[in-house]
Amino acid sequence: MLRTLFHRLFLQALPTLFVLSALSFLLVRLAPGSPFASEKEQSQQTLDTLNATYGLDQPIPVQYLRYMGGLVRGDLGPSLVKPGRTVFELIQTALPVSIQLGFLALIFAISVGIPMGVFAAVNHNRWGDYLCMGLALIGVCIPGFVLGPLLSLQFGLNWGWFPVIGWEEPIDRVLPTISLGSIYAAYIARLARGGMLEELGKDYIRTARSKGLSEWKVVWKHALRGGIQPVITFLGPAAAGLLTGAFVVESIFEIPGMGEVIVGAATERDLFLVMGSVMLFGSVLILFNTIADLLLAWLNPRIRLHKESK
Amino acid sequence: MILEKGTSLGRDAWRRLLHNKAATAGLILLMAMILICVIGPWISPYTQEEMNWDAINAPPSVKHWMGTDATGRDLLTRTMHGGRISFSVALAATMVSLLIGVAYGGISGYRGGKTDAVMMRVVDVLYGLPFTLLVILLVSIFEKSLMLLFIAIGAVEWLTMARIVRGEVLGLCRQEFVEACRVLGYSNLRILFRHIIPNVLGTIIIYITLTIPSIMLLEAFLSFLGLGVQAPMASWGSLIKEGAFAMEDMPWQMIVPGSALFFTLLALNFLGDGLRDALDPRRISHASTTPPPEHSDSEPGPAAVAGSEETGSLLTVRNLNVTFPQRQGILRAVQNVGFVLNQGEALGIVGESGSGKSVTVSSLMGLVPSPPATISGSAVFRESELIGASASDLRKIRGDKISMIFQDPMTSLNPHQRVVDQVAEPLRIHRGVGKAAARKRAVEVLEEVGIRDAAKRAMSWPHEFSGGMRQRVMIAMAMITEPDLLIADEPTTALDVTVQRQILELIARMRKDHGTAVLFISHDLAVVSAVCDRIAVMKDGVMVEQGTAEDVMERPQHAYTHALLNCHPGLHEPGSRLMTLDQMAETGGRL
Amino acid sequence: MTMTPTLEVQDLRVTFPVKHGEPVKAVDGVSLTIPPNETLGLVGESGCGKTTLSRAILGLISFEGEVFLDGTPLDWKQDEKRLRKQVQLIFQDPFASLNPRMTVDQCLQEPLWVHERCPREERVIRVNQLLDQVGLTQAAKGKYPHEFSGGQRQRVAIARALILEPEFVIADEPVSALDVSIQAQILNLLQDLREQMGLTMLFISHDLAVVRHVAGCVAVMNKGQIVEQGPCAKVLETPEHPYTQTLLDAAF
Repeated sequence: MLRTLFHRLFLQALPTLFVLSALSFLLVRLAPGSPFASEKEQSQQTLDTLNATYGLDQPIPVQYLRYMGGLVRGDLGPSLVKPGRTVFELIQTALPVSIQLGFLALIFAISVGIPMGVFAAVNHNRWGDYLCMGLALIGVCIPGFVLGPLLSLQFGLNWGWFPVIGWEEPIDRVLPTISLGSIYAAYIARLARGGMLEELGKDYIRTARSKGLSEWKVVWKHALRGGIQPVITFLGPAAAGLLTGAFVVESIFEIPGMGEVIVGAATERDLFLVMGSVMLFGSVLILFNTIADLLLAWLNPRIRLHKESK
Repeated sequence: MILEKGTSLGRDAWRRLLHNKAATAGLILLMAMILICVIGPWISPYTQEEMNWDAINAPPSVKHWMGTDATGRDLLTRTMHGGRISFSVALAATMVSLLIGVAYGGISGYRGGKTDAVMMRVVDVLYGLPFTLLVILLVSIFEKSLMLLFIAIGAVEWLTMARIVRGEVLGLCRQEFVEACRVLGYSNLRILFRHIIPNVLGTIIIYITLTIPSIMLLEAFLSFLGLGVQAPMASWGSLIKEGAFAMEDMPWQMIVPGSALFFTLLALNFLGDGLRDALDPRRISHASTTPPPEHSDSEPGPAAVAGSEETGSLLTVRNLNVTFPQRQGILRAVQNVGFVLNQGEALGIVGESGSGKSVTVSSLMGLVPSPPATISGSAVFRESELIGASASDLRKIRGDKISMIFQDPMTSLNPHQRVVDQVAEPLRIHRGVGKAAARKRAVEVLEEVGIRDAAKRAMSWPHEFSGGMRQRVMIAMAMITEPDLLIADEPTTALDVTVQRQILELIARMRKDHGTAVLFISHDLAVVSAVCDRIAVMKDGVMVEQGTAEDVMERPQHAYTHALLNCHPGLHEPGSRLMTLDQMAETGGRL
Repeated sequence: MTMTPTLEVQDLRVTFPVKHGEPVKAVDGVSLTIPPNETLGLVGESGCGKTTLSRAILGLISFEGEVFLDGTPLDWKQDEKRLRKQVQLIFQDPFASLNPRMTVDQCLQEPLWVHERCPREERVIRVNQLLDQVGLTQAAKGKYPHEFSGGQRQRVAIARALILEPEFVIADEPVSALDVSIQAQILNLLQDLREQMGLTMLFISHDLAVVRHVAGCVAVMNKGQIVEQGPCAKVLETPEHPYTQTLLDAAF
């Protein structure tokens, strides 16, 4: 287990973060336009002073190294566009909101998707299967930015059950969570069904049945561990999709999340704000991928022991 | 000369796709959508930019079939233009990802070794990047051009394509037919392009049907954020965005582009699911690689049971019939089979693959799913009728009074559970024994079946055992409840000869020590005759002969038994010609 | 009389590196001789190195030691194209050893084109002739592997191995994936072909009975080494090595 973690962190997570930082730094620095363009009628001299203040007159590799040095010490740097404010200040309220939204949607997707998929697999080619998979198929075809407005119209405006704007009360979180999570719930249901069907066809399930186990036990005790492995593998990409997918849901429900911050920062070339957001985002994603990997190793003794015995 | 045309796998898959109603519907819907989006804008009297201040926010009408937007532009025309963008983005980005992914994955998989390790490490590292975020950065920083969007999205998607192609190629390289190409001295290029890539096509097509919808979604997502297509051009994402904020009063403004996206995705999914079913190699191997077993109309076997009918009979099977529905007609897998098994006796059932021997015993145990199978007849095990018994009654007998072991010990154990718990499980469910006590007993039984150092090894996982050891574990699991009957379905076929001998000896010893009756199924007459008191021979679902082991081996009555004995090389003069079944038919069964 | 043996293997070794620990000696100093037009049976259990040995003889993996064909050393690097025509392999699994996307005709014509650039008419004649010899009808030519039964597929695979008219053929467990009644047909076919075409064969099997039936001489392999070698009658009647005895006791 430790070995897997080690492997993940040093051979995968750190190189990924490095590539990510270098790539986004280059992108922003090479882009036309300047963060200081918005301030009107600046003399070349003012611009030069500004550039020098933030170290942007140096060659790009030097800038990059200086930024990374700050990052390692936990300094995300100042915002270039909003004078006097640090990146940390700008992010500290928005990032938790986006992460919370993404996380709630993930919980929703898993807790709806897995039971649905397992139920469909157990009732293979019967009405329960058709019903669940019909629902999942529709779910896969309705992205959050279509479902969101529909839900808020019906449950918010027409029936008044849930608020359609904001992120203060717990009840505010219901519609955004469902809008964001439903498409992933549908994906997970399909994956879980496929995985379970494959697992239920294996020889060892026949052995379990021949022991006289009830169907319930065969499914939940024997087949589930192998059957949900495709779902676990999907968790990494799903987390990525949910976190970025949160941007549109945020804009529909007017939630103060990262979507606005990142798009705004990129458009304004606010170098350090972009870098800070991207790096934090990237770390969250890598954390998720690592958790998914560890889960997979824990579920499958063959992977676990293989890694450890090396 | 007339050449009989065979059905290639591709044509076979196409046929199966058209058989699938949902997939055909998806295909037609998709074609219709594309056609409308391509041709529609030419026919339409409106353009996508033309504003009409007299018809602002007009609901659907004869003039504007789908209504207009906030500046009086015709919504249908704009949606069709949006469709053009969606489809072309999807197509272009898919092509980009396809080209890069197939080349990269193909090379990585075919080269293998160090090249592969390095190339895949790069993919792993890139895979962890939040690509949507980078695409957002890219389009918001640089000018919002469609071309850039294509490339960016394609560059994101190629990673998965490369992984899939690489896995597939790597698997194919280990296949014997690729090795055969090497033996025949074909060049690497020929092997890669003539032999490997055509076999990866199915997977690539499946993956494309997954990629296209996800790219369409991504494009709509970016346009929704205002990062995709720029006004006055329209895309489904930007139209949905405009509509979403006018949802309450002008619902059609969102519903029209929303349903265009929805139905396109639905069509793609239907088509994708259908393609996956049609191209899935496992399905192919199940559905069409095995030629259908011949529907035999041979005489029903001796219905009357030849065995002795003493009071000691443990299992009496009469007139057992099992049929499976097939595409054409039905398959009679087991026909009028009957036999008696006495207490402590060993009966061997011999037959070739497809003779119905496994189906016979599985149906007794309630392990043949019915429906689709139809099972009739009678099988009395100690006063209780097995055929037609409720599932819960059968479960009480299964694993307690009757245990089973199977052919492949490599796959018959649960890979995710410790050996000791699998062995202990029957005790726990049938006798309600607690975990610790059951484990203790399991270790004892493992010791008994010849696993040395059982106390320590019991906590291992199945994959840490060799094939022979695993079969011992299976036997321990079957014997832990001291059953009256042990059904062994080809228990040694997957094992080496020396291991086979050990397992047969173990089964014989368990039988002697515990007085367990054995029903032994095998394709090998010699093996069966070594373990069993009596032998029954099956062919095409019919039991053609049964008798004592000696009678069957020495004085076979039925021509088929004769033939089986005759084609066994061990029972023949070295170098002589073996009698084959065709020749048996020619000589009318007389030798 | 002394004849140059068709195949001679001298002290062949194959080792596989293991990440941590000793390299595995899959084939550990094997020597074999097969006289012309003879069949040598190679017997052993799974993992004994018999398949590795065959792949080494075929030049598919690197090895130490020498292999001679008709007295001249095999040099796969120098002479691959010519040697591939002379040494061929019949696989165990007729389901996996044929490309599922090629018809029988394509599969049999391809080697003739690659190696001899045969004109089409000649290819057709030779394919027809060989199909006849392996007991398949002309109608089989347009069909794909999945349309055949296991035994027929093995006939196609045999035809593919023989289309270049090799001199030496390795048959790696050619019947162990088949039903007993089919086994008999394939064994008969192999024997007929050996006589008609003057083949020399290395017949690999785990089944002593099958080997005794087709081969004149037998070599018993265990843990990468040949433990005993000689005429079938002698080795299988009066075995000298304890492992051979164990194998004989286990067999039926």
